[in-house]
Amino acid sequence: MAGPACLPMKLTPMRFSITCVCLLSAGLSSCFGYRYKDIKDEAWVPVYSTENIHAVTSLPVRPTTDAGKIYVQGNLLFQVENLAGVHIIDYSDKAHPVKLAFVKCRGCSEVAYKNSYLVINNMRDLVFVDVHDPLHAREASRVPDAFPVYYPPHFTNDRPPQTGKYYVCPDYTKGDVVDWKLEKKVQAAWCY
Amino acid sequence: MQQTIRICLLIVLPLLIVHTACNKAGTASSSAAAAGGSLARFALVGQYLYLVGNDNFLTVYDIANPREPQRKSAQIIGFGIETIFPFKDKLFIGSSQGMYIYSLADPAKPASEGAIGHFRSCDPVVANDSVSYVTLRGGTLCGGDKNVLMVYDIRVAGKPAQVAEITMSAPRGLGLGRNALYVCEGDRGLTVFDLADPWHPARRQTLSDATYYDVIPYGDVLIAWTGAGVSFFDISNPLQMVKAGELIN
Repeated sequence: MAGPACLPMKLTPMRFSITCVCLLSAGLSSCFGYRYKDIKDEAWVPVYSTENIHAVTSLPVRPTTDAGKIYVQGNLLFQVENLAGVHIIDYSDKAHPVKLAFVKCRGCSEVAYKNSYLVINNMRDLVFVDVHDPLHAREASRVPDAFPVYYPPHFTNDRPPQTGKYYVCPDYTKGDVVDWKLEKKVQAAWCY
Repeated sequence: MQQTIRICLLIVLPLLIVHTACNKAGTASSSAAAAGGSLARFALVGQYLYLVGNDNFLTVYDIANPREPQRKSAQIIGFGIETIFPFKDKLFIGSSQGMYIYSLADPAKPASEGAIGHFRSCDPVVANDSVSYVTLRGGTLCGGDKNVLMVYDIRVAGKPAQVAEITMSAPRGLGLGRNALYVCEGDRGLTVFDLADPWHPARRQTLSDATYYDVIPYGDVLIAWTGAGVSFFDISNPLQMVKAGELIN
């Protein structure tokens, strides 16, 4: 963005107007510039996993490595595995609670449960999951963008392997970032 | 300049989001009811789902048929909304600025019924008919540097009033049981307060065997979200937490 340098000369009305026009067009050009002209010679681009980030499915029970929020109904306890899914736990025998299944759901941070349906978030979407058979969970419905503002602070691989260059900011709704590629003539590389 | 602004927004906006804090547990009087923690952003009441996302809105969905959720209403309720706690026909909403109370007289369209501000802090809320308890934790992304348990008199609709303030150590989620208040303090453990005098909770027992984030008192069981997973305590004597089991792997 270019603008006139400090003007040591007297600021006449004419020069003032020219200054304003210059600054305004410089500002506007950067507004439009980001869309049409902001191409970095070289920048990092995230490579997304081909795995479907919106798939909500059951997996065999697995260890709890990042314990999250809890919800209870009767003898069933649901615990979020932060940003990964929900553990379904039967604690009828409190001395020996048992995991029944893990419902994989990327970006999960919230959990509720009603009448055999898990209410969870898949990134920004609100999802209802039929878990009457915990090992065969089925997505029942989805409200896209029920969480219109969502910042996943714990996703891995959120920056390129080297600093010092701009990069395209990861959009985790597209999938997990599995790799970074250094490319030429990159548009929209705003992160640094 | 544009990049700087964008980068600033990418840094600043996440700081406004609360991701820490204990979960508060709802007070379920029967074990058939369901309950979430005090840190929840969801509340299920009857056939309605109340959601406070990260955008300062309270959104209501009719989920009588979970296969076809219907959005009923959405309203901006404040800034830095973090948690939601349902109790009977009210919602208690915690934000970094204060506690908001909403009436569910019309469950599809919650109506504001007063609020009370506090210094900037993360704040889960639990409540019953007459009192609400809020933990405020300093040194977090929510701002502020005090660590206290606040006690509010909520008997007069629309006019919550602070009654007491108890110093704590980085308190997080909390849960309301039978004349007992369970408060998580992270690495410091889990403390149970006697609510014989509900306006002046009195410490009775502290467990320091784990990092406690949130609890759900559920009948005679206290379910705790810990750093490693979940723990279960027998609270048939509400002021005496007796460990019954855990699931930490």
